[in-house]
Amino acid sequence: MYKILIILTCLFTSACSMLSNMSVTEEVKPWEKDILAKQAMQIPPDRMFSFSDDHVFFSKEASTGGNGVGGGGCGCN
Amino acid sequence: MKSIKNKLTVATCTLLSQHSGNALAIDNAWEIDSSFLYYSEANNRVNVAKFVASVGGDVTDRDRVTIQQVLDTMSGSTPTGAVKSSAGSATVSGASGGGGKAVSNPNAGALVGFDDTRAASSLSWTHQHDNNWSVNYNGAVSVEGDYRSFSGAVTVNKETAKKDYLFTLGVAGTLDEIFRVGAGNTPVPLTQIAANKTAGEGEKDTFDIITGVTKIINRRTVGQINLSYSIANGYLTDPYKVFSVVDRATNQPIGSSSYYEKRPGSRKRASLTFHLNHQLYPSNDMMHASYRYYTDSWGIDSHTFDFDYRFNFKNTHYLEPRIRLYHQSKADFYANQFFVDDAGASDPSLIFPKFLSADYRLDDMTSVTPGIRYGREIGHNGHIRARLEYMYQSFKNSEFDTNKAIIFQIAYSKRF
Repeated sequence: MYKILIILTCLFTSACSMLSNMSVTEEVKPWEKDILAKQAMQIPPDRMFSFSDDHVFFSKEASTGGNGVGGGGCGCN
Repeated sequence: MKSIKNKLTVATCTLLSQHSGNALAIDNAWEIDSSFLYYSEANNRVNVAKFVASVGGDVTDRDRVTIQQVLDTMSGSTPTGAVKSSAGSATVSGASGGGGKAVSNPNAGALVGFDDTRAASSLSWTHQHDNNWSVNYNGAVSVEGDYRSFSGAVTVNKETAKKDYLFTLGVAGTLDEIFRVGAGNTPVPLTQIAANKTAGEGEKDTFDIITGVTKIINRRTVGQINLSYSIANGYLTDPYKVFSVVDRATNQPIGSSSYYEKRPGSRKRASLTFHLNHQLYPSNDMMHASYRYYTDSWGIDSHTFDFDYRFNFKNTHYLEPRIRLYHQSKADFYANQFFVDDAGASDPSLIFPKFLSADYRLDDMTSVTPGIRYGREIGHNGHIRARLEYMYQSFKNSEFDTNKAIIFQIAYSKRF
């Protein structure tokens, strides 16, 4: 029980720390945008996977949209 | 002293910005991206092979053009909407439609075989008007055995001077033409298959608008909010989907009872989507999270949550577990079957509701998709990545209460 409490406390602290890091707003100078310029930090991080996902889930679910416009329809739904 | 410091700062900024611009224009002006996706449902349901190839590049200092080609091949079997105890054989086609057999049996089987091929092309042109304004124009055409789609879109992007906010506004118009393979027509909704009543091709017009804000929160975090709205008018019914009329007392379909479905001729959709990307410190791992709330005029509300965590190894390869959770409520006019009390003594179509569909995709649904992705740099400016995911869908009322599928995709991109 004691160990579980310690693990939960660590997890909670880590989560709080991560959320704190994410929520701190600060001005980013042009020369500080090395991380933000990475492909993995773009929205979406991988256009090909995102494009394929949109098609797969559009054909199997009733919902769509939210990631852009255009691209054409298909008869799959 | 202060003056010298200011001058040095300005000079440094100028050099940095010039270098950045030149690097973008010369070093990585062109990019190819290609992908193969294999989608396979359990129990010999739908199988799809999808090939995508795109080429994009800077044609001038301010213009970038991307051409994309898609080829899909689809086969297998798909639910028609009829109940399993229906005595009929394959009479209609589904999924993407094409390749269905002729209408010959008044009772549709619960599953039907199909095969179809789809080819789609798109052309995208982005013009950078100045340092902060850009406009993207997109045109797309999609053709398959029973469906044609033509669309055009314009998206305007505006960055603030400090480039910490990006505002986006996009509009799109789409014209779709729907018809059954071979026959080139659509069935009259809410009529029996045996009646073989047909109408002409169906047409659907869709207008989409999206507006969004992307905000650089700090050096390691970027967020985005999108609000989208869509109006579709015209033929929104699936020309292959049917439903069974079932005797409430015996729970058996009554003779010659399969009818073509009917959906409303208008649909309004709205969604609110949030994205958050963050690189952790000091591990430099990354996380991508998104949530979408969706609602439409057919009574469907849905929630989609997507999360992945990327373990970066030496900045050259990564492993990325992913989970996607989805839940939707059913459409107002969805029913797995239409019940009657008098076992066919009178014409059931006289008491049909205005709209009725047994398409399982309009049912109450929960879907869970866990998966894993792997990617690595390969060669000079090359990037190969693959993913394997498992989709598990469960339905509340549908004839088939689950649908399971494997999704495998491999993609390769290279910058020149």
